[in-house]
Amino acid sequence: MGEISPILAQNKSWVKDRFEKCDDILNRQVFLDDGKKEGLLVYVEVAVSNLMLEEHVIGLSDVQPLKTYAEAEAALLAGNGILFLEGDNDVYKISSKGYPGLGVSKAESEKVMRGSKEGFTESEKVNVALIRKRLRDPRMKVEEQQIGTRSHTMTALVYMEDLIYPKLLDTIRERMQAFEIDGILDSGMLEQLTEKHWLSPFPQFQSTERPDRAASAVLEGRIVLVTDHSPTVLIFPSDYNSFFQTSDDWYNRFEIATFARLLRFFAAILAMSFPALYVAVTTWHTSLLPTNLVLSMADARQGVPFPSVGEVLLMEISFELIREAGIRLPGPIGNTIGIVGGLIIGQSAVSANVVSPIVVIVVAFTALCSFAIPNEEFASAFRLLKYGCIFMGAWLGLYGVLLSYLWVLIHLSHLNSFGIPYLMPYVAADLNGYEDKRDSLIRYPFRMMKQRPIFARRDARVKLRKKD
Amino acid sequence: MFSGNQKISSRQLYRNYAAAFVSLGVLLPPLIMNQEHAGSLAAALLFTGCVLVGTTVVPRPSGQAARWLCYAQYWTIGTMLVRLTGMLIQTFLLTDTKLWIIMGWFCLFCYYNLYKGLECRFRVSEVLFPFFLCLLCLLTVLMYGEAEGQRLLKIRLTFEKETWILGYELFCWFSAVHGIWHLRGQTRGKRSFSGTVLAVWLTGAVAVAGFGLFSYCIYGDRGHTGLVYPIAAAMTLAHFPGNVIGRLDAMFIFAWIIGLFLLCSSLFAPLMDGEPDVKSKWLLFGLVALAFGAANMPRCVEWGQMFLYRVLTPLELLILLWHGIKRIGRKRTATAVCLCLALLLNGCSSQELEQQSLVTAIGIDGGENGSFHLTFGFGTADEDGEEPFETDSLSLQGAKTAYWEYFQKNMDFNHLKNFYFSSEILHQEAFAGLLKEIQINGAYSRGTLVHVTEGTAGEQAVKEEQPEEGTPVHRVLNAWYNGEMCEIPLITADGKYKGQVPWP
Repeated sequence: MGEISPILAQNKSWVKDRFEKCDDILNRQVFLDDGKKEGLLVYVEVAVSNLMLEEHVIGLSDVQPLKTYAEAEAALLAGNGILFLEGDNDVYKISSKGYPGLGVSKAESEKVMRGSKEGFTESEKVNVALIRKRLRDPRMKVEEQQIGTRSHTMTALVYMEDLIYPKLLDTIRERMQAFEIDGILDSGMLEQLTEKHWLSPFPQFQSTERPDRAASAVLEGRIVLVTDHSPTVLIFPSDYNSFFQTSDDWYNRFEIATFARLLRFFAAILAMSFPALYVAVTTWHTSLLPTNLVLSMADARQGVPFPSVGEVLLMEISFELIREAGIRLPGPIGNTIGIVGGLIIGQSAVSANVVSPIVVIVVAFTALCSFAIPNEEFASAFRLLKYGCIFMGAWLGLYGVLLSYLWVLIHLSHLNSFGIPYLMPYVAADLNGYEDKRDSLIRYPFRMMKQRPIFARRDARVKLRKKD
Repeated sequence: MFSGNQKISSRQLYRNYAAAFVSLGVLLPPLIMNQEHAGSLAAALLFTGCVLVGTTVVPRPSGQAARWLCYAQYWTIGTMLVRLTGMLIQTFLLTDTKLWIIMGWFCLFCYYNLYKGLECRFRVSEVLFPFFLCLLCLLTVLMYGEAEGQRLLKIRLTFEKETWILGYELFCWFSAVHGIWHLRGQTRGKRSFSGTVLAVWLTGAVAVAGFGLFSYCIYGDRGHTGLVYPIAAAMTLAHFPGNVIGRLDAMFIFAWIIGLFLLCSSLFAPLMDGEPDVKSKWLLFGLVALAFGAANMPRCVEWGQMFLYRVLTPLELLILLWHGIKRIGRKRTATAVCLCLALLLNGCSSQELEQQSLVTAIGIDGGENGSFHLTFGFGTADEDGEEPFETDSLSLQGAKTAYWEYFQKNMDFNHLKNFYFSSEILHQEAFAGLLKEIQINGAYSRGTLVHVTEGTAGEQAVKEEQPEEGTPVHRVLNAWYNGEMCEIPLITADGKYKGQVPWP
């Protein structure tokens, strides 16, 4: 990139080329020395305070002269302002408070044992800066756009220019412009408007509250959609596999991460079908169970006035009520109501012979499984499908449960997220030479994950290589 | 953007058709395998291999007529398999549920799997294939202790006329995988189409041979009823004798349902290859609905088999040959070969109607020197009718031979309606041998009912009016095989029905 030019027009041109489509990087024309000397101040929005720009640009701040464009770029992306002056061979770095730091809130719904605790805020600008903070690359582009004829909600598409498929960008732009709406108040509304398979219970956008997760998605060649007033950003394209991944999957050792993923997959299947299996086996196929277990279950059901399916539905709906109430109630009360409600209702229902103890175990275990799925929207889909499974299990036994599995599998096979088969990499893995399998059910050691997933452009998939 | 719906990968192709072939390979060979039928398995695999090789060489048919003829074959097999799957589920999982409900759901899901087009349906098989294989392997491991390896020494590789015929019939069922031909040119990936076809054949061949031999090691010559209706009932004998796998029976039905679901989806699929449009979706819906309707007919499998053996498979072979020879530009030769083949196929096992006697009832009484006194009643259209045939023999085959020697006519048991066993023979030692014979030859068990008589069984067999209620013969065979009890209607000496006889 070379030395800084003394001609301001050339510097302006460099800034324009280098930070094209970076709507989070602003530049401002300034005049010094009573307007005799023209300058250009470039800075990352949010990272540099307006107050500093107004009052302390020159003289009061910590100013450091830089000689090259490379140094200038690094200083800018680190959260400082840079000032070009006409006729000056140096560019001046003006130190600032930098990117938003510990002041931002924590990610409440995606807690991890290891890794950043930061979460997105409700400001689009700050959220973009939180991603920029992690990816200090001018190739990371930010395209801002207003949506909503009355709300004028600011949205930003964040992506790595050289990694994404350009057609992907066109598709999302088309979808965002396909509707005219009076107001977008959260990313969830935007998600529902831009989804292709909008009748499906399964989300086709991955949502996250974690900047590191969003940054990781950008590095994979995906696009992040940030919406103002929403602490949840959307990531697309998404596949079935990505909903089972958590940030610390990549921060922990591969054995631990793999074990956790296997647990989550297992949990997802049981979250959907465990009550249905219970109903099917107890009402149709008691021969599957050991005799002692059947006898004890039969004994436990003595005096229960409802059929198995009724018991299960009763307890499942009770559990959903407790959950719903827990969310609406204020924090400390909300936390306790789950425990109290569960204990009291479960214990009382068993004592009153309304349900058998084994049903309480089944429902509690199912609830645990549903909470083990990292993505709330994805888990909700399984929770909803559970009722269909219960119905089928009660009607057609194991055949009904099998039909439910088939329904879900066929439905998932039909889904695409922006052209990517939803079941990637369990299907069509050959499209990316089976590389995506290395980060699926089993997470390979980090050294072996050398390629980006299929989301990235074909010619830019290498992400790790050993230096010569 | 990333993947079209027009092309599938070789891996997807392999998984789909290997699952289809393996599911047939697991279900069918054990039903026909006895010490003399190993040759039939080999012949069926050889025929299938030859046709599959043909599909790699010959371009897929481009003409509508040829394609529709092939699709008709797949649809017929698919329809039969829908019924068999329904019966399998009804027998093992949902005894009291109506067959049409079970089949209705199955057809609905087949349609749901197909209506989005080629690539989407292949994704399902790609995911299910490992589960399917794992369940089958688990089944094999659990049953391993029951296998007696020394039985293998008794196997004889004979190639008599019956061997070839049985081999051909098995090959006709295996023709379910011939649909792979129509996907030629629609695959992508490193492995070539011919490589994939070879892999499919090898996988299927291993499954067919493996399960054929494995089941023979477990059951010997018992428990095999031939490729006949009701196959699903015969599966009871072939796969689940007594408590071999005990309480896990129901779990393994999962494996078969998955395999048969993938197979049926492939069989109904050709219409939906490529990008589906509204018209083809409706057409597919109509055909699946038609399959559902046909599968509800009790004799669907019987008719389907006849149609498959005598019309559809020969036609498909002709189409393959025609296209193959057309490719090398010898139309006259092609015509001649096709005509010759058609003539030859017409001659196979043919028998004029007047040379057959259709047995409708068999009465079995005790005979001299431990043999049976067998009375055969014949079906007839005119009033005089055919005289009943009586003979003393140790086996039904012996009686058949005797009939041939007397009248130079064949007794055809495919329309057999009733067996009458006199109560005195039920506990004879030789009776087990007779049951074994009934079990092995499918013609005897094609929906045949069993009755016990207090008086002479032969008298009942020659009556013109035959009863329509009795115990199905496969239930009697199941009970005998598993050492369980069943009840058979009793006919008194004066010809009245009076309660049930517990047996054995």
